[in-house]
Amino acid sequence: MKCASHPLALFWFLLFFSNLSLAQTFGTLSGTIVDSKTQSPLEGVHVILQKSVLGASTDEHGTFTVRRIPPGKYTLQISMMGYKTKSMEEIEIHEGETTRLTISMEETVISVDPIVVTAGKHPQVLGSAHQAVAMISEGRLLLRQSRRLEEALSAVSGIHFNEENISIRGSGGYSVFNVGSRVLLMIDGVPALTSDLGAINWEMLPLLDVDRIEVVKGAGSALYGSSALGGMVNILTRTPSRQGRWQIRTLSGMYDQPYYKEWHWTTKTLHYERADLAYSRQVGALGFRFSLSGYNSTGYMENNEARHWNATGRFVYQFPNRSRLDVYVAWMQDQRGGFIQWLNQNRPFEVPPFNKKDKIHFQTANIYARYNLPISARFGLTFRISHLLSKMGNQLTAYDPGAFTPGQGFGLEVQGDWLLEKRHHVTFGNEFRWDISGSEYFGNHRGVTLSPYLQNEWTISSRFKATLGMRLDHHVLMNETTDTRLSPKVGLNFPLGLTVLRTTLGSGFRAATVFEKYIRADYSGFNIIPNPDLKSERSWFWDVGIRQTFQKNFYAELSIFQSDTWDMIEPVVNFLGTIQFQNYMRARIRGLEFEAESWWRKRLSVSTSVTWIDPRDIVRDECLPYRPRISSCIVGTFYLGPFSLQGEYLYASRIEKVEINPLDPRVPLKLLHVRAQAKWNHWTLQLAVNNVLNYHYAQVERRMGEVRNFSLGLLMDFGELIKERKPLETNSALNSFSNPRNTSFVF
Amino acid sequence: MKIYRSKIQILIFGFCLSGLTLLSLLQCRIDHGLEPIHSKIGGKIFFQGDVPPSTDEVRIAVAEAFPPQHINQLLFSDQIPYREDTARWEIYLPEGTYELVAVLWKEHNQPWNISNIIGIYGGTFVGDFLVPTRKPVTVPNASACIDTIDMEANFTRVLRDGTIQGTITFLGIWPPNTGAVGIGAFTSVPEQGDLEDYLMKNVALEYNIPTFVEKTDYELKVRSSLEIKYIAVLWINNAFDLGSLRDIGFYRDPQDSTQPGTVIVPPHSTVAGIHILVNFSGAEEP
Repeated sequence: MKCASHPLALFWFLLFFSNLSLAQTFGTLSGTIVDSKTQSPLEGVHVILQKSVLGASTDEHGTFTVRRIPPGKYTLQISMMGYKTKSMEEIEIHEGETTRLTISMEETVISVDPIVVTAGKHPQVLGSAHQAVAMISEGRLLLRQSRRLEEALSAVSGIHFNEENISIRGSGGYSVFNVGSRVLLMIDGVPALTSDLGAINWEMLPLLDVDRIEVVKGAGSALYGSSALGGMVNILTRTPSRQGRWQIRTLSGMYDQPYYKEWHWTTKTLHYERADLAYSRQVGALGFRFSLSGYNSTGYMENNEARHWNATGRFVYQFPNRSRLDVYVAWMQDQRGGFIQWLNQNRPFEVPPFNKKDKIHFQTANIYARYNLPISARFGLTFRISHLLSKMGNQLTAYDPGAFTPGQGFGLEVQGDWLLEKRHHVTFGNEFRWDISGSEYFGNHRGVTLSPYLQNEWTISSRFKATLGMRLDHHVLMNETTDTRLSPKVGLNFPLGLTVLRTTLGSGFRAATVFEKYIRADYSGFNIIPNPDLKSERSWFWDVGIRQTFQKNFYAELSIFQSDTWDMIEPVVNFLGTIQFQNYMRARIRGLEFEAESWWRKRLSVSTSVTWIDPRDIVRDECLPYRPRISSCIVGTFYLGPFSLQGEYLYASRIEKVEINPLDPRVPLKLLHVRAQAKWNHWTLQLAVNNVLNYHYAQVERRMGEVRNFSLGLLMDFGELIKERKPLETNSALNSFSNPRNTSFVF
Repeated sequence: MKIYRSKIQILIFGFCLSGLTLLSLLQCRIDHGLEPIHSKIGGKIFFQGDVPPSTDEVRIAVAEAFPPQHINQLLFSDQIPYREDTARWEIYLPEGTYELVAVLWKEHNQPWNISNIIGIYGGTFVGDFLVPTRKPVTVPNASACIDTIDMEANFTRVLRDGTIQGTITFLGIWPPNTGAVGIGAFTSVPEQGDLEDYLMKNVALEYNIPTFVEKTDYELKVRSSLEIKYIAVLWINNAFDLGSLRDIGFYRDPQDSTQPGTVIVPPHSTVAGIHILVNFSGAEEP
């Protein structure tokens, strides 16, 4: 009875505060935002009432409404990528009245102040974030014609992929099945790493569901806990449209033959196809969105076929008291061939006979619910509850018949945002996780994590902001180990007109996954053996950056960073070919990152980025494995009315150290992609040639990268048009966001 | 309408320019990354002896230096069919000199073990004992094809039909840099620190002894009817550097504990009670 009274007490407490706020009288702010030249309404503009937790964004008619505002004078901040950020002071809100505004925004090619939500766990302008943040907008996602989420991320500065393993600024190497990711993947701010492998499954969401992607570089454990060691990738999904909207996307492609005739291995035409269908609309206070997606590919190598399906649903309910409930459900099934290694270097697109029947199956079911409850104009609560089920099966070898590795992760989080004395934005909360995993490969394990956190963003003056935060993660692997980690951070931000200086010092950690600790398997001739003594890895990270905007058409950002990791977990191959996850005593990654973007008459944009890193195993004085020292990307996009043409060149230097087959030849990565797009009303036609030069490479030993391929796509968007936002199709941190349409929000 | 026409003109110009750029690129020598290897070595393998039932696969292993310090310093051929008396093999190799060309046997559900060499190019068999002499092979250029590397391979070397059992007791504090511990049976006492001796004189060598324990039972499969003159516990550091291999204890003669004991296992039998004491406090610091 006593236990049962706790949730009740919390409920009454919230109701009390909620009613307190309801008992007051409020005003309303509504308005229309238009382009200053064309007077056409602007969709997706963020409107924030400064010194409060209230805000809204415009719908397809350019209108917004913020209800239940306590009377008083406010400063409005209005921002949208591609337009100059506007600040309006002394906006007065009267009791029981609606203040109406018509706001015009001036177009610009470079804007330094889009809104981001991941760096501080609440919406903030990019210029006030103390960490390096990159964004991939809806427009850029569309123009890149990506088939998979990894493709969409591959051109972001500092990101490098080894197969499906993501690495931000050298944080990650290569691990089989993408185990133990050092980048935390989130869907709408809810962690989405699998419980058993700690892995990212990039097929978890259909691309048509993605509204924008935010990438935060550097340790983020002070807010997000384990796995946010190298950074965070937050996928923000689309919210329902106000009016009925159908979106249909089809894409078909064909693989070319390898460049060398002796490597041709089949006379069949190898191809891929994907189809996405989505519908969304709003009925009263309820908005919903459904999507279905299918992908089929023969693959470009033997035993490389893939087939996967996604089904998702999103529901948003706006309560009269300004609170909001979001529910997102995603299901995925993925079946693919298991290309583990090539037959030999002279037949690199074929597998050894004993691997021909290898298959891998994945299934995930992901559900989260988020409830935003504004208590007052300066205090709001967010509740998140989530469940992620992941299942993997395989027939990797003839003597190791299929086995499943189901993992389940339950999450519960309460987050509070409190604007204290108007100069302090305090974010605090508590996260609880319960992970269950069981497999014949690594046994049955249960883990519980409790993580309180606290952060204060202190606006000392208009030109100086400091952020202090910390999180305590108490992780218990039931009947086995207990681990407690404190992750503090300090961040400083100096916005000086068109120049923004920022610096951060923070710590990160990652708890060893049950797979890394307990796996025992025979994998293609390699024995993987357990290491129950594996410790959590922990790091300290600092980053100093300067971002400079030069007039309207040039922007540059330079960052220097260093990360020191203790007990870094990496798979180590011993002299017998036995693989074991072990703690490297000490590793250090130092680096420099530069990115720039320039525009010429709104017709041509060129963006470039270079990341240099020095990844060292300090104890052994060796380079860390699977990390290229230099990675670079140049993207040029030419716009002409409804047409656009894009060329992209990706480069990564030769990987110095690999673990399994160090004698194999290795080459740098050099990929050229060309894309074209034409829009006409509701229709978008897309053409792409990927890997134009048919460059052959293997980022992971004995697995060739994709050969040249040609694709043709068609996107149909009925209900409302995808807005043409030229400045968004770029490769800088300034890419736009597109946000929940016509929705008010609390931080 | 005028603006529309001008846009079309710019578009055509843009596409022409892109086409010309692409054509010029195609005319240049384009880097296509990884390439096939054309130089190779090959020959015949003459198999002898009965194939052990636990055989998983057989491959040719090539190393630039001998002894290799790590399994990943070996280049492997494709699988060799081993059921016939003779098999042809080949392996594509870049130009260079290779000190070791050997036939390596792999046991079912076990990793590759450098000790399981069943034939060496340049080596000879006296009866079914391998005399581990070697001949290096040189691939002189990028188009060389050498197909005369013939070898004998004798499965008897890995035919292990007897078992030794016992207990290993560890005294003192384990060295913190312990990586793996194994147990090996030898037909003569290898010279301490001579890696080649350890790899070639053993009749069985397994690295499956648990570490950081006080006592453990072990079982080692060996060939029966063979006079095993030395049974030792071997230690390797946590960098898994084969160069760090050394023995830390051996089975002692029950009559004279200063000398190694000798064991002969009858066919399809087990000899138990082969206990070994490892004293870390008395041993040389690894």
